[in-house]
Amino acid sequence: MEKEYKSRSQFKTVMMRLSKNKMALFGLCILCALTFIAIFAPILSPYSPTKQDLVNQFQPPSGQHIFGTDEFGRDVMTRIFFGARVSLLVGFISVGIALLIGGALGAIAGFYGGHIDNVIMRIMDVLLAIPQTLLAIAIAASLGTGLFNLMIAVGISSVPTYARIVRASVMTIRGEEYVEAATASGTNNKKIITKHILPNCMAPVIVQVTLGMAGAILNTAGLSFIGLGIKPPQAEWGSMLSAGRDYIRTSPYLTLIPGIFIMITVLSLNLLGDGLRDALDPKLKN
Amino acid sequence: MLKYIFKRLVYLVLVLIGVSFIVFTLLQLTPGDPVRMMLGESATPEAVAELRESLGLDDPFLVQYFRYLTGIFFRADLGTSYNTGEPVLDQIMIMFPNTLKLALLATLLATVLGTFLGIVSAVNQYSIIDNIVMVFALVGTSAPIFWIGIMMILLFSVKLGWLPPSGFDTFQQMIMPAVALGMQSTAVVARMTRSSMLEVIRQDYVNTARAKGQKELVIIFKHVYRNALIPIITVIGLQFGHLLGGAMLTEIVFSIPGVGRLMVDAIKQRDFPIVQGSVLFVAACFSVVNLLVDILYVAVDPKVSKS
Amino acid sequence: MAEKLLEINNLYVTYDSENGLCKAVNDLSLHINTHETLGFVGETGAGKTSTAKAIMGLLPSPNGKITQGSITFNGNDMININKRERRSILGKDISMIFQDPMTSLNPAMKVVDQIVEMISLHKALTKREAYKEACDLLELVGIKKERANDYPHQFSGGMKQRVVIAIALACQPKLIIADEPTTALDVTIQAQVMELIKELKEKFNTSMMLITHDIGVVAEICDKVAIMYAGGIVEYGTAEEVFNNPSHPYTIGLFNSVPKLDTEEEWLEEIPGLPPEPTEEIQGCVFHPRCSHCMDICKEREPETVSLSGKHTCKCFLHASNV
Repeated sequence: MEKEYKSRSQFKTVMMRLSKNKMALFGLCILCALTFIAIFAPILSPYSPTKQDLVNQFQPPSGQHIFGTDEFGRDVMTRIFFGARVSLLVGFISVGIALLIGGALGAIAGFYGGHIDNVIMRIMDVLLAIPQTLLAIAIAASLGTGLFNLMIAVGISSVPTYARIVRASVMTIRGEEYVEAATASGTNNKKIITKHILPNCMAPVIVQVTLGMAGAILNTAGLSFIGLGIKPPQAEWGSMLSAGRDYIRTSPYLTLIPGIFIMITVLSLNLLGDGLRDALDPKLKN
Repeated sequence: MLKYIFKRLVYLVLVLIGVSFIVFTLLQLTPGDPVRMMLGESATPEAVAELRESLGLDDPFLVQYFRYLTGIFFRADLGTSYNTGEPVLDQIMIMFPNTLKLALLATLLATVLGTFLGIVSAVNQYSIIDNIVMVFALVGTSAPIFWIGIMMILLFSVKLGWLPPSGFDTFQQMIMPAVALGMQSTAVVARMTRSSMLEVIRQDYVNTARAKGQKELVIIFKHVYRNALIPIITVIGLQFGHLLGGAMLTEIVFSIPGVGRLMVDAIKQRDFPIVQGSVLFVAACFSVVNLLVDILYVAVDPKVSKS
Repeated sequence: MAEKLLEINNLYVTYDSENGLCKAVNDLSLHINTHETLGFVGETGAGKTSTAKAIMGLLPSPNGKITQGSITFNGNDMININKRERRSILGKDISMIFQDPMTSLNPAMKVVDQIVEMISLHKALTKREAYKEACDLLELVGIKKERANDYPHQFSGGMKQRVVIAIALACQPKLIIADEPTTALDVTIQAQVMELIKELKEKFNTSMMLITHDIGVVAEICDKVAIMYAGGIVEYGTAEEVFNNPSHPYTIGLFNSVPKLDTEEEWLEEIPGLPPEPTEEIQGCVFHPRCSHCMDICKEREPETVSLSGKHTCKCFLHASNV
């Protein structure tokens, strides 16, 4: 028993801890379900997400239309399914953009230090001076609407977060003795970065990516809500919510349902992110 | 200390110049011609050219930016609105009090309720209260601000008729926007307070205090909360920036005439000076708050004050 | 006959941990008389600190629990005592010196205030009187009054421990529990701080439970010694008895691992192996896997505590008469 436990790899230990965390598993399950819905949206629903059916306007939820229909007679459930595609995709890609740019900048700043660090981090300070939602709005306003622009706006606005996290962990790890030992024994920079530094700063990055996706999805919905995101008729939760507002007195489900889905998605990512943080760094757990 | 504040102020100005440059650049990249928007599609090319000339839109980019920057520095001039022709700063100043009031109310709520919930749940770790608070906190951080706002309108205005759904003049009108906006931050502050308190509760000096025979309640405040305060203050400071950003969405939901509304309307009308001015103004507020938070650290942490 | 100040009978302490139930203290009994100093010796993880925390009621809740046994201090049942009464005893009658002075002082409070807190909890003094007394205490432990208003981070480790000692002594307690008071300090400072503790203990005539893994310190200031291994006491007696006639193989191993100045030795002897993990269940004597005198019976049954001579007891089959 004892030996087995000690020889377990870090990955397995993390997985074991994660599998004991019911909340995190719950989040993971929801996330898988949402991904499934997003991928198979066209198969799961007989209706079209965009085709108008003016005869069936404002049908309340029923057996035929589980979540009812909207002001153009479109099936809300179908639109929710297709909206999941947008939300998850934007969440994923925008975090990817942020991680790629922010991570690279942070790693360079943390590893080389000195002037390079100074210049990069001062630019990050400037970006951090603008509240993230506002920065995303400003970038979205300048780029115009559309899925791709939305991803860029949401992604760029969180670049500084990743730059800071990666820089901080790179700097910590760089000062660790095993890295100094590797430097002292003549290992070149590239090897040190790829073999020692990157693997060891994964933990905070993984956590931030998960929580960051949650934030990105919220931001996306916010941008769409004020009309800067995805243009109708394409289905997106934020803009569905925004459109539903006009009919809140008569058909409240039009705002209720997209909001619940945004919340569930964000919640599942938050649960998973918290679980990952606890599993990766048990010291931080309370 | 004064030297430190002065240094920070100088840096703050530099950062804000950076912000102005970024915002200015961003809006230069924006597709769509504001002059066309102002004059309408039927305007003659001559009229368009003339207006462009008088707005200085044909000058090289850097010249335009420099003019903008000197305007801010020497005349506190953030430009004039393309739409109304009025100074941007005047328009912001009309709207800003509402945004500030909203953000401050939400911060107050988050600070008071958030720290209270965080302390209660840290002290009763793993109890039912703790679980309830943490579930609330998770849901609170996950729900979009604007959706909470709409749901509150649905419940308290449409169904129950208790509170007015829009406006921002009376206290009753302020309740829902402040709660909707502050909910997320309350949750964040509660979580931070809890984890920070739990971190400190494990420290040896808390046992030292217990070994003195000190009352648990006194220990919680005198020894634990006091030392848990720094991360809590940091989070509250960051939340204020969040709230200024979130206030934009709240203002739209509750039809509050604030900077957010002003800005979103301006984006739709391609009224760049207003957008630039609003972003810059909010960034300035945020930076000042962050500076105040840093100064507050000194009061809280004896280690900082001596060095 | 001196009266018993602290008496512990058959104490069991457990912790819930990620790797299962951890048995920190198993069937521990001991007592300390008034004006007496007990040396509590054992390796890291032997359960010394858990015993101390159990006495103080400071076991981390909800993970740490006293599952069996009794602790009586000065006539009070310290396990079932109510919170208010416990608070009136802690600090006033029992105080504790913690292991690591770096972490046992509140970083956000002036050192003098941390002493004043103790004084004003248990003595009816005005603020000014308490402050004056705190300053006197600082002088007593060798810190100048002028530094009373400094914060802990402005002090060195040795000075911080002096402050901790001042706090512990503030109300002239009947019993001081010193949990490895010098372990975290530089070697050069250790002797100074130990000397200070010894001096003040004699001055105030308090009882003390000195937790340590340094046999040498025990010889210097303790009246009685309890040798602890894997949560239980394996040998117990007056310092004289234990030092002249170490009986348990573990005690003998401990003595042999200390360099002696009077004999010439090439090598120090070591005790082979490592102490068991606290979650591990060991059949028979807990020490048998590391014991050089291990017999068959040691693997099967747990030895009884046998009396050797006077107060000297030992928990080992080597000394059992009827095996």
